[in-house]
Amino acid sequence: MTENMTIETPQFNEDQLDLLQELVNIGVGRAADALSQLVKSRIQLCVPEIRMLDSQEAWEMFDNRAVTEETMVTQSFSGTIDGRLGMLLDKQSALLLTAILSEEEIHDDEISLEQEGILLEVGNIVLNGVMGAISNAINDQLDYSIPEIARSNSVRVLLADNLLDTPTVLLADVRLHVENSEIEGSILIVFDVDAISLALNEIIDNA
Amino acid sequence: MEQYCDNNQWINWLPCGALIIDERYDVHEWNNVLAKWTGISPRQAKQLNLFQQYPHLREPRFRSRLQQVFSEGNPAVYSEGFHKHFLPIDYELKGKKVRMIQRTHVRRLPGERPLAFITIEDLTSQYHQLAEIREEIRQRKIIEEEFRNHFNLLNLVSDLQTNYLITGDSNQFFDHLIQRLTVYSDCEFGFIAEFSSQNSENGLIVRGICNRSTDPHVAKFIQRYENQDVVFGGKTKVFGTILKTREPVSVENPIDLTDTATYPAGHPFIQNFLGMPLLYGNEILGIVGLANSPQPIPKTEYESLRPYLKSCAHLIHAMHLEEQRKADREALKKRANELLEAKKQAEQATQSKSEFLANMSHEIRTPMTAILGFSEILSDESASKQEKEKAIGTIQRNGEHLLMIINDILDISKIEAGKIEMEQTTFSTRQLLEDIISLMKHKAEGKGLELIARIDPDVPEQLLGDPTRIRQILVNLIGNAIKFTHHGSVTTSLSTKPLPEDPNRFHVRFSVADTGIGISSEKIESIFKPFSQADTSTTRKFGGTGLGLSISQRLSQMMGGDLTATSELGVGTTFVAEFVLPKPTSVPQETTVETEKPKPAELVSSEQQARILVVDDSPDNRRLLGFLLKKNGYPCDYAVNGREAVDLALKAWKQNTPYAVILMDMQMPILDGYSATTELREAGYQYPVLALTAHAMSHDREKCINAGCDDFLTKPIDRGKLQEALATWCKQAETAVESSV
Repeated sequence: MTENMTIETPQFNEDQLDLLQELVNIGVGRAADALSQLVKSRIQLCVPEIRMLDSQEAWEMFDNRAVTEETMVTQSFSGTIDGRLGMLLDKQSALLLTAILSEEEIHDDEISLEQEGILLEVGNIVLNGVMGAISNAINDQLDYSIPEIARSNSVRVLLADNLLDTPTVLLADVRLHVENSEIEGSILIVFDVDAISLALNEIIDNA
Repeated sequence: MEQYCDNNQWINWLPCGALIIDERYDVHEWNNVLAKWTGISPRQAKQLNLFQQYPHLREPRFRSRLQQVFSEGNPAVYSEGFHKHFLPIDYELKGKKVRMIQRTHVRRLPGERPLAFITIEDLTSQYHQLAEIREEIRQRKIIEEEFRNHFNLLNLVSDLQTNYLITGDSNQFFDHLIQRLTVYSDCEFGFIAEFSSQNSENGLIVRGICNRSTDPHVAKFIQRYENQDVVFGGKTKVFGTILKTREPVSVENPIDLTDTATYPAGHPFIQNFLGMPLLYGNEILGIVGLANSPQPIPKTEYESLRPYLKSCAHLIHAMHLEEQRKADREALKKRANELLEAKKQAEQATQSKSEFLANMSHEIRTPMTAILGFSEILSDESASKQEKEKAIGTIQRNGEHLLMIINDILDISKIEAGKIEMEQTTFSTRQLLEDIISLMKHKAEGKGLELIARIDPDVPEQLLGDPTRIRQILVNLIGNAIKFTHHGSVTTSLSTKPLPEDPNRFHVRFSVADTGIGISSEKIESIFKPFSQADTSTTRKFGGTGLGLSISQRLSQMMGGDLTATSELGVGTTFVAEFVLPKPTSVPQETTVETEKPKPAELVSSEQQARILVVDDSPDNRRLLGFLLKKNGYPCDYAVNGREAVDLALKAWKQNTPYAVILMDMQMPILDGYSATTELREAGYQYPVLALTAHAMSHDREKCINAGCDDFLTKPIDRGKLQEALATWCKQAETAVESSV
C-alpha cells in the first residue's frame, strides 16, 4: 500500500451487522453441537461482539497480538462471495482448549502434533458452522478449501494476500465454555463487502 | 465422476491412503496404499459399502460430518486426537503390533454427482516417536525434579549452615533440615538425634523433629521428647544396630509397639522406618530417622541423602567444637582474670610499697627535720633558756617517734623476709595480761578511758610460747584502741579452749574491744596489709607507722592463729588475736622473765652514789649517756672501747671501788662489747654489765646474755628504760658488793 492510494472502507449498516452477528451465532451454535458430540463435556460457544475492521486496523490488531503467539485455523471459500475465514487463539488458550478436549494435562508449552490435529478439527467444525450458516442464509453453495493451521508469523503471511485485496475484515470475538473453563478466541472473516452486502440486503428485504 | 474413474491413476500417486465414496458410502476408488494397509485390493474394495465394511463410521461423530460434506460441501477433518483412526488398520512397527494413528480429511469433489474424496494420513510412526520423546522428556523431568530437589536441599543445607555460622542457632538448622528431608521423602515423621552418653550409654538427644501427622496425640508425644535426653532400647534394637554397624537400617513392616521398654507409651504408629547414621569420618554422631512413607524407603535412599547427613554431622561436630572452644575460652578468660587480678594486686602492692616508702620517708624526714632544726637552736648562743628547754623537749619527742618507726620497719622487714623465729618460753597468762594492762593503764587514764581486763576462769595458768610477741601484739592493739577512742572503754578479754584433737594444746583468744570511731567495712580489709593503711590521713591525725597491725597479724599467724577485726563506724572496733599454744609439759622451776622483771621505781638517794662506767666509741653517745646519768645523780667514767673498759673496770674492782653498773656498747673498735664482757667475766668480775646495742632483735639479746651481760638496752637510749634498768641493777650491784664483801 502506498500513501497516495486511498481506499474507502465500505461499511455495513446496523441491520446488516445485526444480521451478520445473528448468523455467526447460529453458526457457532451448530459448531458447539458438533463439538459436544466429539467430547464428553457439554460445550457452549457464543459471540458477544462483532465488528468491522479496515485493513489498517486489522494489521494493527495482528501486530498487537503477535506477542501472544497466535494460532490460526483457516479455510478459504469461493463462490458468490470469496474470502477466507479463520479461528484465532493465542498459544495459552490453544493449549488449554486442547488439554480440556483431549482430557490430558498440558505437558509442554509447545503445541504438539496431536494438539495441532485437535485444533485443526475444532477450527474446522467452528468455521464450517459459521460459514454454513452464512451460505445457507444467502442460499448459495460455496466451495471450501480444507483447513490449514498456521502459527504466529505464518498467520500474517497467510492473511497478507487477502488483506491487500480485500480491505474489510469482520472480527467476531468467540467465547468457548467447557466445564469450568472459559476460553477466548476470535473468528475472522475476510471477504468482499460489496458482494455480501447485496446478499444480506436481499435477506433483510425478504424478511 | 467418470473423469475421476477414467483417470484413477492420480489417486495412486498420493503418498497416503485415499478413497472416493458416494453419498450412500459405496466405495468408488481405493488406492494402492489403502490396498497395502488393509489387504483389500482396489477391485475388491469397489464392491464394498464403507459403512458395512467399517460399522464404527455410523457413529454420529463420524457420520454427521460425513453427511455435511455431501449436503453443504464443507470439508471435514477427523483428527487423530479425537478419533485415533478413520479406518482400523493394524500393522507391525519395530516388531510390535500397533493400531495405525490417522488424520483424515474429507472434501466434496466438484461435479454433478456428490462424491467425497477421503485422504488418510498415517501418523503412527510420528506418534510413536513423539511418545518416545515424550517419555524421554518425562524421565528427564523426573531426573530434573530429583536433581532440583537435591539441589534445593543442598542450597538449604548451605543456607542453614551459613545462618548457623551467623546466628549460632543450631535448632533452626536441624528443624529446617529434617522438615525438608521428611517432605522430600514423603514421610509422616522425621527426626535428627544425636547420641549422648551423658546420662546413659544408649542416650539420644533429639535435635529436630518433623511431624506431618494431624493427630494431636502425636504432637503431644513429640513435645515431650524434643531437645530431651532420651534413652533408646539398646544394642539389639534399631538405633543400637545403627550405632554398632554405622549402616542404615530399613524397617519395612509395622513396628510392634507393645514392647514398652523400647517404645514409650503413646509412641505413634510406625508403618515403616529408615534410620540412617550421621557419620563424621568414622565417628557416629547421631541418627536421622524417617518414618511412614507411602512405600517403605529402600536403604539405597541413604546414598542419595548422604551429602545432607554429612552436612548435619559436620554441624554437630562443629557444635561440639564450639562448645569445647567456649569452655576453653571461659577457662582462658577465668585464667586471664586471675592473672589480671594478680597483676592488679601486684601493682597495688607495688603502689602500696611506693606509697609506704613515700610515707615513711616523709615520716622519717619530719622528725629528722625537727631534730636538726631544734638542735641548731640549742647551739645558738642567743637562744633563751626557755627556748632551749622547749627545743630539747621537741628533739626528744621526735627522736622517740623516729625510733618507733625504725623499729617497726625492722620488724616488718624481718617478718617479710621470714627471718623471725618464735620463742618457746613458759609464761604466766594472768601475769602477762596484768603486765600489759598496767603498762597501758597510764595512757588510757590520760584520755579518761576505762581499761578493762577479763580473763576466763578456764584459762590455764601457764602456756608455752613467745610472751614478748604476744605482748607486742596486745600493746599494739590496746594502744590503737586507746588512740582511736575518745569516750568509753577499751576491754581486753582472754579465753582459751583446748583443741579437740589435742587437749594439751589450746586455742588462745585475746579480744580488744573499744568504743571508738570504728572502721568502715571497705577499709577493714586493708588495715592488715603491710605497707597499706586504712587511710594515709589517719597517720597525720593519730600518728603511728601504720605497720603495727600488719606486724601483729603476721605474728598471730606465725603462732598458728590470726588477727581479725569487726567494726561499726561510730560504735567501735573489736580486734581478735588468736593463737594456738601448748601447755608446758613440766612445771618450770623458775618463774618467767616477765614476772621477774622489776617494776619501775624511783631512784633512791642511797643509790645515787653508785658509779657508772660508760663504754662507747661514739663521743655523742658518751656525752648523751653522761648527761642523762649525771642528771639522775650517777657519777660516771668513760671508756672509748672494750679494751679501755676492761682495764678501767678491773682496776676499780681491784681498788675495791667497783662500778655499780657498766653500760657496754657492743660494737666498738679494738675490742668489742661481747669480747670485753666475756673477758671481764672470765676474770671473775661479777658486777652488772648492761649491753647497749642498736640491734633490737631477740637473738641479739641472747648473744649479749651469752657474752655475760646481765641485761640489754637498745639504742637510742630510752630515758625511762635506762632509769628502770639502773635502779634494778644498782641494787643488784649492792647485793653483789655485800655478798662479795
